[in-house]
Amino acid sequence: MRPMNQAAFQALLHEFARASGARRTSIRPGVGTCEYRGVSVAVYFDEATDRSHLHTYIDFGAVPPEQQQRVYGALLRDNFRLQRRRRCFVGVDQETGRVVLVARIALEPALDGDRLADILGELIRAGDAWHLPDPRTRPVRLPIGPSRHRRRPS
Amino acid sequence: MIDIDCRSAVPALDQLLKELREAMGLPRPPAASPHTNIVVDGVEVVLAAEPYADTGELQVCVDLGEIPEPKARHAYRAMLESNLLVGGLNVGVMTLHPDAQRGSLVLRLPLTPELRGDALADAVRHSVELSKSWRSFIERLPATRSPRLHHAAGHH
Repeated sequence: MRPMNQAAFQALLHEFARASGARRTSIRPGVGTCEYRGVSVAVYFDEATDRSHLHTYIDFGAVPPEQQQRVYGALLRDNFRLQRRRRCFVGVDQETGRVVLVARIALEPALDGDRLADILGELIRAGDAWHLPDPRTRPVRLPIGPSRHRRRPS
Repeated sequence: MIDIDCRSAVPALDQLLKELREAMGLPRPPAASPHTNIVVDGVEVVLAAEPYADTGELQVCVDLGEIPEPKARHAYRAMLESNLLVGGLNVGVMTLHPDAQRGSLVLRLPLTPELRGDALADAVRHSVELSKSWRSFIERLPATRSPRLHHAAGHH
């Protein structure tokens, strides 16, 4: 496991920002947010609740009403695969209706800014199968994450 | 039945499942299998070991029953909202079976020495109760037509 504290976490996020070209980057103690590949991303680290993982929230935007049944079904079917193979899952924000992917990223020794950019890129590509509105045209909303929900992923 | 293809059994799993059967008063399975199916209060539960990190994980998959098409949109939305409100890999993720119109709640429990039969039995019982609550909730949902069909039928 990569040793992690708040200083190392912020250094990792600065590495990620340089490596990825993410936009609208904001790095604070415990959380970093950015716009990456057209979607909002929030990465959290809290050593008091989980020393072994980063917790990540990716906002894919809302689903048009006429597509909801198809897309919601696809999201739930993908959850069966995602939770098993990628250790993540997807849900819908009760207040906003926006699709949010929740992932926990293991703090492996090899995790650096480049690797984090690759992992987040793979997670964002998971959303391609849902055929949501083009990420380049849907509005980005920051921040997202556990402050908007009752509990953190476990 | 929810069938999980898993051929990577963890050595500690046999002992854990033996303890689980004893804690829940379940009969012995008919044959060795990469996954174990049990029925608790009429709800099917599939347990399967999977390698992860150093210890492996136990995947617990609890059937939520069939989701009728006319109730699908409301049920799907409620399940997805639940994932963000109370879900998590260790406490349960709402999913749909890839090949069927059946919901399932999937938990991933680390296969550590601390995970014993009693604790697993508690987790299974809790998940089965949750499954029954979801079945009841879905049964009470109103049937709706999809917006596309609604529009085609001349309603605005």
